[in-house]
Amino acid sequence: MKAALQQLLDRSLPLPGVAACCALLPDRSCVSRCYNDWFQTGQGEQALSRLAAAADGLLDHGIRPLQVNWVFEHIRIHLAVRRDAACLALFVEIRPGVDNGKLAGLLEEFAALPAG
Amino acid sequence: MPDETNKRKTFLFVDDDAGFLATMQELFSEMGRGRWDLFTAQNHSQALALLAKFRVDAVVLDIGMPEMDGIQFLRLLGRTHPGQTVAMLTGRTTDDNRKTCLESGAALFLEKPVAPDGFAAIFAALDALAGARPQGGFRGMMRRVGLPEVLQMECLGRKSSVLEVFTGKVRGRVFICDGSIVHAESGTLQGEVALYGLLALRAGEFNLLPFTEPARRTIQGQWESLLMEAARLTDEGQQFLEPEQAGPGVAEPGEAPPAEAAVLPASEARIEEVILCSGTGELLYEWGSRSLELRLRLLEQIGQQASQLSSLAPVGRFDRLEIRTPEGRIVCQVQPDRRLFVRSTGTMSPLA
Repeated sequence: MKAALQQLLDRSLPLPGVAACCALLPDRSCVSRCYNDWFQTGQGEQALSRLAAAADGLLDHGIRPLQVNWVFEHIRIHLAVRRDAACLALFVEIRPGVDNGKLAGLLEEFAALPAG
Repeated sequence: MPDETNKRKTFLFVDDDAGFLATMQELFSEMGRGRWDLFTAQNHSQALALLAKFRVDAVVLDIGMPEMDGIQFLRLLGRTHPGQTVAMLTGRTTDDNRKTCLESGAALFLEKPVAPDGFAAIFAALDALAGARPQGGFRGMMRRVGLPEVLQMECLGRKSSVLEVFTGKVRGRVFICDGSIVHAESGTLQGEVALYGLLALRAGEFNLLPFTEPARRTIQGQWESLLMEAARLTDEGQQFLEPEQAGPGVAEPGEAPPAEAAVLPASEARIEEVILCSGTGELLYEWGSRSLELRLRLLEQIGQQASQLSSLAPVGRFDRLEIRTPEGRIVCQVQPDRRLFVRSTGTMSPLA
């Protein structure tokens, strides 16, 4: 899955407004890309582990998330969650020019990547 | 400029004493000599229903009322009808009540009259209050002049003003200081979300009033970017704050905020559950919830998780969490002054 994910990210990114992306794979390894000076890989990975835990915690509330969007003042974090526990987070600046269609496409493609 | 003392004035008196209301209506209609229109309500529900239909210059509230007392209702009005002038008219004129009411936004704190000349004094005070709206503004219809255009003019001219917007169910204000949009509020919403909601309204009226400093400045971005973002969101079909288009879960006029509309894209969405709490977790409104405690705990957890995420990266203050599920969508908004949970079902776009 890692190779397919790398290909997907190579093909799809960068996109306007996307500051970084981080993926957590079923084997708990990480794939990260940063496109902005103020956002470091380490920050993204730390954030992703918290985001993944938070998404997992939603199950305790009877909520099965397919996609989770954390909206902050400057950033939207789009998190796609797969059944095999893999997840992909896109850290997107809130500014004009962001192509939501392409972001949605990327998240959908991630959700559809073959497992394993 | 028309003479403010001679314009028609509209009041809503809220008191559980039907006899007192009848007396006020009779006396003040006579004293007003045709210039006073009086509505009366015996409880907050009736009052909110009237406020949803009519715009009034001042609401006059008793304190001692069952279900929701006048002070609680005053605070609710502050959230649901920001900018609404409210006067208290009560027999409970303790120092504590006076202080609480004035701090909670009441413009006047008056004692219920016990003698005929007392009614005349009350009449004079309320008449002056209703005529004390800021001078120098102008009023328009949004169908004729778009709100973004008005804002653009104000910002380009580097002006300072307060743009008051109202439709049948939505009231909001946008604060502009030296050509910058510094604050917006609409119902319980504040900041950019409120601004985008107001800018997405397709019809209504507005008043452009002299600038007054808001209690808090919540918007910092450049006005050009804010207007572009609002246009983008509107273009994408997000139905901000238009209760006419909100689902059935927010049916009570003026009570629960139609905030789900602020974040749902145009869709076949149907609101199934709404929970609104104060910033400290006090339940203010609930509709359709089967597991209230669980939801309250969830909102608490989301606030904590957002705080942790904020500490990891310069993402700014947290606004909301949107969750897409196989059944539909959930929005959890956690702000210092409120927590909101809205669950809806139906078809919607993957990214909002």
